[in-house]
Amino acid sequence: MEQFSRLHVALTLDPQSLDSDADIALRMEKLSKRYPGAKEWSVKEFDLTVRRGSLVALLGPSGCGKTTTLRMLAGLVEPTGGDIFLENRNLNSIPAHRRNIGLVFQHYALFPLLTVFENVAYGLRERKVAQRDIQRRVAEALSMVQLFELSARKPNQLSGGQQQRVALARALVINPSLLLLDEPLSNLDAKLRHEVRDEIKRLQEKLGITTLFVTHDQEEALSMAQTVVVMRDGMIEQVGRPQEIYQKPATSFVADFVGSCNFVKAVATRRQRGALRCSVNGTPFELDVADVADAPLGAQLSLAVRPERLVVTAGHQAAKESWPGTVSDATYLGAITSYEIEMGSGIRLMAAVVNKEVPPFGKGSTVGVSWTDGAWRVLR
Amino acid sequence: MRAVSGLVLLPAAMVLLGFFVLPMAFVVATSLQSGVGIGSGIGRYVLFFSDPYYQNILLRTLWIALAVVLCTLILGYPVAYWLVRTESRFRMLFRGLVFFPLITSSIVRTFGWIILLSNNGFVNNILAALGLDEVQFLYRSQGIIIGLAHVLLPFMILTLMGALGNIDPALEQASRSLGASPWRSFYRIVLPMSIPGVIAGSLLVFALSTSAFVTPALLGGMQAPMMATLIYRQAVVAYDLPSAAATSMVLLTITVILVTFYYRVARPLPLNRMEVPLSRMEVRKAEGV
Repeated sequence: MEQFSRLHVALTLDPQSLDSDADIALRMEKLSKRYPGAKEWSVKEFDLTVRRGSLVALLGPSGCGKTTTLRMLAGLVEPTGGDIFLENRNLNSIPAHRRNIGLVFQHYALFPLLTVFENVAYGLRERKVAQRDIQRRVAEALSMVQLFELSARKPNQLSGGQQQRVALARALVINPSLLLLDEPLSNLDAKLRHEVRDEIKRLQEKLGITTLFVTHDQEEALSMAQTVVVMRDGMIEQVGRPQEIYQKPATSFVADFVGSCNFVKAVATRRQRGALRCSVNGTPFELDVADVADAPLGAQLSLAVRPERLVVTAGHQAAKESWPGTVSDATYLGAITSYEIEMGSGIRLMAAVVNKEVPPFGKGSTVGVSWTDGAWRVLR
Repeated sequence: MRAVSGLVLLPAAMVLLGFFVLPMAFVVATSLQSGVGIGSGIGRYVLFFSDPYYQNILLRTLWIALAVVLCTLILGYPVAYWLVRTESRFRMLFRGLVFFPLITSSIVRTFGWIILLSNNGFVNNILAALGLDEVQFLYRSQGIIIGLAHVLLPFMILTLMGALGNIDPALEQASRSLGASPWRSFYRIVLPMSIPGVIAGSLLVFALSTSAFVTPALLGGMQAPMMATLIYRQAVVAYDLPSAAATSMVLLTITVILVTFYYRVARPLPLNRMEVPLSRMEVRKAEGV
């Protein structure tokens, strides 16, 4: 089952990217990496096509290979196998300093002995750009990130957010064919995160630079990227737009990593009215899921539903078809309340309910759990 | 609170007083004695600086120290850089190899050099095989420089490793991503940032060289004396303690002057509080968190 989903994913690229060659800025084929002396492969058979001008996120837990992939793109790590094509040039024989790729590091890596201006000018100086042009382009780049007034400062005189903007300007001023960002938001506090996120999106759209960033934070990925690539153990689990990844996760890993998810084991009993009726293991309860063609009756299935799709009503008011349960925990989170509800037979569901005028349910309350159509999905 | 912290320093202060300050005062007093040894009172110091024999020894000492610093720097810097950057699985082994000589006594190592550098020794045999003239190493400055450089190399490497290890590899990577080759990245980014470490290592090796005794004594003898060798001869062989005391004070003073000079002038100004690149701590401070 697992292999099916991974193969499926590898072949089904983002539909938007199946365009002519002219639109493809970046192509990675069978990219793989195993560090010398390591038993496991860090990156296995990574295949991805990226359209020019798009913003792509590599999302996954620590150790999934996303940073290694990024470094292979930058030329800082040599792939064990596979090819990278940037603007139809094979990068394999091209060293990092000739790839014209802008790289923004997680901790910015600003040169501490140089001023902000000199930092941004660095790449241009290496390219032997004329001094007059350097002045102009650096001024433009710094104005774009609203840091022109701080040109004379040294990096240690800047705040974290400012340092990152300098790092961004430094990477962009060289007009790279590809912009790579390593965990761009993870070092920032919550308020800054929103600002910087919007700034990066704005800049990327304005300049139209093909951009790829790496993150372990699913909110970062969903909020910034046009295309999300979910990775696990060196392989791609799913590629798609944020809505697809969230609403139609291909595997239980994606379902649980991106947002939270409830998983329930059930047996398919019959088909009716285009839906598949399933009997939840260990309970008399039955529920309907959207039919999947290849699920034979009697097969064990893994069903999933997102906490926010569950509707919780007081026991005495609940509809007959709803699933009865008892609230074992309620956590108030401001905008929502997160419930843990015991459904019997060891099944526990998490529900996220928006707080309105009605006071939240307390521990021990009897409730009925229901949902809107299509809330449940079959997972592989 | 103040009183308590003052008391805590008392034992250390007493050790310093008893074993450093007082003996130092005693040496100064000895150097100014009259009626004993060559010269008398302040005249002894005047004699030191006017007599070409002593001038020669002083200059040789400074010259050798400088040469040793240059040798250890040139040899040690690449080694230190490789040791901190390598990802080889035998990293620890190589580091151990660098410091292994420190376990061996410097006397033993110096004897090794005597054997290698003698007129019929290994080095001269190789030179002869290459058709070159025999070189006189022993009892000349050359031999001392080689021996001291060998003995003091681990100190230079150790110091440089500290400085280079503090330089975030991401900086070199950033430089490369911006278009600078690995060599350019080293030259533009790493080298300037390693200067404080170079200064620290040079100071250490310089100080150890000027005051070195065993290696110069064995490899240079009295044909190529350094300051410490001279002090030994004056104090132990000639039993001229006042002269030995005076020579010691001269050596100490000159070293202190040079160190101060180097510190003030040769270091980049102005200094940040931290001479090493931004750590995460520094970044958070700047953010006001």
